[in-house]
Amino acid sequence: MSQTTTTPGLPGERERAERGPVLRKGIGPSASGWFDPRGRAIGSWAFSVNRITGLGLVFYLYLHLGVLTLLLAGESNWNDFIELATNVVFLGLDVLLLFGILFHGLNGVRVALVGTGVVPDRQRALFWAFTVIGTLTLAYGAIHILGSR
Amino acid sequence: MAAVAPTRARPAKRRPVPGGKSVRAWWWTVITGAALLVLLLVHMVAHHFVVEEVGGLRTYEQVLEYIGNPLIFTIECFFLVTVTAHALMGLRSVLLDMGFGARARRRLDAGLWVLGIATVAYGFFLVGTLASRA
Repeated sequence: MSQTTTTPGLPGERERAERGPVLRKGIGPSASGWFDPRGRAIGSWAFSVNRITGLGLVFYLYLHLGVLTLLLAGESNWNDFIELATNVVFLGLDVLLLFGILFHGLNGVRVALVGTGVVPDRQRALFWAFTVIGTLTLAYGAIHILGSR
Repeated sequence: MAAVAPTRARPAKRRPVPGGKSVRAWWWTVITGAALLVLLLVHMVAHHFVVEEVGGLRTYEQVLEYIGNPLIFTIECFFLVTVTAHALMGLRSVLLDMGFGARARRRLDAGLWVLGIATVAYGFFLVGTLASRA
């Protein structure tokens, strides 16, 4: 008596065999839900802020490279830019930049520690510990930047 | 004779794994992110926290003197490659959450490679030109 090892009619078998696009939408909430406050845990907020700061830092990277092009144009152009960049509005934007770097960096460390399995079950504790470290560092940086005038 | 439990056909060894490339990209994002913790700290402190100028910005001469140091030049080049890779992989993960199809993903990857190579090439040109003036 012979028996086959496969039986037709397993649930979903036909659908699995069909060719088609892989519709995968990633692991996080969609961009439209980044600011939706309903049912959000602290890690989910951190995810949204991490993405916003990340996009801001990508924008800043290219802005920074663009501004550094002034160095190629010579000394007077660069020193004119320094005059502009050291007024209080620009220094305030530097503090905002420092916030973005600190949040993205420290949250990235938290995500990496949890995601790689080094510290898989302490994400909330890490969030608050890094919040304290980040706030103190931002305060020091802000005093240094704004106090340099 | 005992009934044999129904099983599916053995899957092919090389089958498309949804997310496989993204998993590798995630690991590279973590690795470059870890490197950036050091490189960005060096960059920030060296540029903005040890210079006694308004706003911590170097004058033209101070920039040339800084980038003319071979060790600093090497660190800055490494920083440029690392930060560009990290930034574009992060951008990729944000864009992929928009739910692109396979074809659009391939185009996105190709576009990000071109953008990344162009960014690094321009950065090398910039620091190389400045270092040559030092």
